[in-house]
Amino acid sequence: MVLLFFQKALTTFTIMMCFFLQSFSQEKADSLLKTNCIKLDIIPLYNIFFDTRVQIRIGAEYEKVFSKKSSLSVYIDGGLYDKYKFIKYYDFFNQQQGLYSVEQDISIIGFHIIPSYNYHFYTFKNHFNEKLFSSLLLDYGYYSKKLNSYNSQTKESSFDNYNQNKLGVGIGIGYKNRFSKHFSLEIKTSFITKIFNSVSDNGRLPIKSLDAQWTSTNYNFWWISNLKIGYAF
Amino acid sequence: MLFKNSILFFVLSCTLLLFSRCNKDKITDDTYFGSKIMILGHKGMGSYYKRPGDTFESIFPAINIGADGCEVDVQITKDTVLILLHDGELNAMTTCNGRVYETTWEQVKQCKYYAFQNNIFVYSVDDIFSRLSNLNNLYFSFDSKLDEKIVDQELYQNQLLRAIKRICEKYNMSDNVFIEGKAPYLRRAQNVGLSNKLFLTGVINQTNIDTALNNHFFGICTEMSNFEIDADFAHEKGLYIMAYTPNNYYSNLIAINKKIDILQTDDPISILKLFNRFNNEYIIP
Repeated sequence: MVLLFFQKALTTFTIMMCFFLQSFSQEKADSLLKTNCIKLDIIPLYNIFFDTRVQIRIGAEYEKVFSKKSSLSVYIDGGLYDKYKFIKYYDFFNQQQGLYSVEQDISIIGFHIIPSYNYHFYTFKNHFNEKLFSSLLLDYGYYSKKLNSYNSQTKESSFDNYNQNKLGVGIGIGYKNRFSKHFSLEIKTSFITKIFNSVSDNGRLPIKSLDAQWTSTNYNFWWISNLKIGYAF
Repeated sequence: MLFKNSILFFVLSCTLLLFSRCNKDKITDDTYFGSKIMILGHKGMGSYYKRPGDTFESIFPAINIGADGCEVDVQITKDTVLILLHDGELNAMTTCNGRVYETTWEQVKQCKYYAFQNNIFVYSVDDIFSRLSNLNNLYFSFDSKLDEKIVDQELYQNQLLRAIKRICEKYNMSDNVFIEGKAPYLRRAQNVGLSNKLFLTGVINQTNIDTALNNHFFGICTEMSNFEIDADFAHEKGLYIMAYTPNNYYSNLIAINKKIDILQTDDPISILKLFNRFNNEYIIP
């Protein structure tokens, strides 16, 4: 009887200890959890080095953690999105007016504001600092496009300028690894669909999402990927 | 030490990158004749494009990204409709069977390409030309795929050339359509009354330069590796050089360094970007 009592007490103690240790370890992990994080996106730097187009933009994000599993973040991406020359030649064999060209100097500046709600749905076993998360996000983008055109045949120059406002909604999935007390690495990919797109000059072709790695031919869907380095505090 | 090495490696890499950009700036698209290198997409967007070549689905994007035109393969059907197709046997790339020359256009136009996209059919040249809005500013090089199994070659080739002539006259494209072929075929084109620019296919050597000159051909069309002598030997005689087979950025550069006038490339994007001739606004499907 006494033995049975001790067995019960031992089992109860063991179970309680298990709960206590688990909550203790959780508390220890949680004590490391910082509630604010600033992140810098590396992907916008790609075009600076690996494309003929000039792109000088920066992407940064602020994230506020509300609970163990959810957070809100605002990503802002802005700068010079595109600056390039497009030359089209005509009459290569000088059979009509002689070789001439139409040169276009194009520059697009603008910004994107992408607020998102993030839900951390999976934490890797034995790697508490590695998490998978999903996001629900909005993408508001504003572009101002300037177009200088020169026709070498008529010697005529023209200047044109128009704006675009675009809003999209989408979902994203990502992986976050906090590799030190303050620093983390985050990879996120988002698929977005258009809610509205307003171009100041009717009849103009919309400007494709220039923060996106892919845009559908009808401009209604786009896909953005980010690689961010974060500092938590 | 490791950190220092990393920094050194980074600095060296940056220097190499800068150096490669400097080299890029020296390359020019000027030609011997004071014009610009004409950039034609091979069969449209090139052999590596996800959609089959010689179709509107491949030609239209090539033109929209900034290519000056396309090289296409042409043949005639039994009822002498000029179509775009590479192989003489329909089943090589499409869902149909039989030889092109033994099949009518009504039958051929039902033939679907084997492709990821399920609804790409064989096109006639008329179909393509009628859909292009700025056609008279574009250039096409017709590579006639002659069916050697046909017994009466004279009749067959004359039919093919007359079909080319009809379509060029219909769209006022005789100045903008080049015809590639061997000397006898091009002589036949002259006899039929074609005023198009004729390009002798073969090696760049003195014999072919002489043949082209003696027959009043416009130039020589050659594979990129077939330069026995410098292109300027042909240029000095007034002959244009059209080259094919470049399929990436570096082979495009090799072709350009050979001082060609017209480039048929499987990678039009990289070469158009190099010369600021790429239309970034267009989204390639």
